[in-house]
Amino acid sequence: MTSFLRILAVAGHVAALQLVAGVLGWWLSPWPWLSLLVTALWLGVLIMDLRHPRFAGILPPWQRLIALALAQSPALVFGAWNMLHFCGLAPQFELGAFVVQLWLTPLAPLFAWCPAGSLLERDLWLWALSVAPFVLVIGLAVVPRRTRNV
Amino acid sequence: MTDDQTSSLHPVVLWSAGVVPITLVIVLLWAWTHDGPAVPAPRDGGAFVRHFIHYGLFRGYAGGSPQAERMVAVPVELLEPGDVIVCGNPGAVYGAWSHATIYLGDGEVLSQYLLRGIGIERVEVLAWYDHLRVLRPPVSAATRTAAAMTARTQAGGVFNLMAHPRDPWQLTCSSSVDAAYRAVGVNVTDGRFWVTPESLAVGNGALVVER
Repeated sequence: MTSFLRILAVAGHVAALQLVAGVLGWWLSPWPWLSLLVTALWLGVLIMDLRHPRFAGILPPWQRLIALALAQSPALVFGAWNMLHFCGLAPQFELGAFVVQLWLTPLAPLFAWCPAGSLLERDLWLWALSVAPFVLVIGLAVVPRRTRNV
Repeated sequence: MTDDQTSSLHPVVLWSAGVVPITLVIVLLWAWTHDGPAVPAPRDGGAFVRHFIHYGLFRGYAGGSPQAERMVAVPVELLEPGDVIVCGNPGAVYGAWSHATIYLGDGEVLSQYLLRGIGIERVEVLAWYDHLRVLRPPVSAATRTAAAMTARTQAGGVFNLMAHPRDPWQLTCSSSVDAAYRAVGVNVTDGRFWVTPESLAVGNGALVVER
C-alpha cells in the first residue's frame, strides 16, 4: 500500500470515528453529561488509534499530520474563514460557520464550558469553535507513537 | 509483531475509511431526489432533514429572501415581555416562518446568529422580515415575564443550528424560546419533536398581531 493510500485510509478512518461520535453525541445531548462522556471516549479512541502500530501509528508524524488535516479539512477551512471574518478580513459566510459546527459535533458539549466574555465583539465560544480544528489536528499529530509491541 | 504487519494497516481502518464517503453519497442522493415544493416544509423528522439539505444547503434558501420593499412594521407598542415573535421571508426552508424569538421588554428581543451566538438586540431589527406574527402564551403576565427573564440569561450562550430540541447546553432560535417557557413550566409548541418557528407559530399562544 502506498503512502498516499495509507494517508487517505487513516483520514477516512478518523472521519468515520468522528461521524459515529457526532451522531451518538447528538442523540445523547438532552443529557449533556453523557454527551460529554462520548466526547471523552471519542478522543480516547482517537488517541489510541493514532498510537497503535496497526492503525495510524504506522504513519510517520508528517503523514499523520496530513491525514488529520484531511479528516478535519472542512472545519479547518471554514474555521479559518470564521476567524478572518472576526478580524474584518473576510466577508460573513454563514454556510461555512454551519459546516464548522456540523463537523465538530463531537466537540459541541465542550463549547458550553467556554468562559463568558468576548474578543473583537465575538463570544469566546465562537473563537474556540473556530480554533478547535487547528488545536485538534496539531494536538493529535504530536501524540507520540507507542513504542512497545502489541 | 513482524515487519510485514507493521507495514500494513489493520482491516478495521480500511473498512471504516469507506464509511464517510459512502454515507455522504447516500445522504446527498437521498436529499437530491426530494422533489416536493419548497414551502411549506415537511413536519416529520426525516423529511424535514432531507428538505433542509435540499433547499437550505443545495439551493441556499435557508432564511428565505428578504425584499427591501416588503419590510414589516414591527408593532412595538403592542408587545409585552414574554411575547413569542415568529417571522419569515418568502422561500425560507423551514416553511412560512424562518425565525423565532421572545420579547424581553424595554424594546429588546433575544437574538440568535450563527456568527454572533445568542445575544440581545433591538426589536426593530425584525423589520428585515417580510411577515411577522406575535403570540401571547395563555399564562399570567408574571409567568411570561419570568420566561423573558430566563431568556435574558441565555445571552452569551451557544447557538447551534443543529442543536437537539432538548439540548440544554446549545440552542436554536426556536428551542431558546421553548426552553425559556419550559423553565417556567409552560409548553408553547405544538408538541412535535422538531421545535421550529413553525411549531411555535401554531402553538397555544393567543394571536396578538400578524403583519
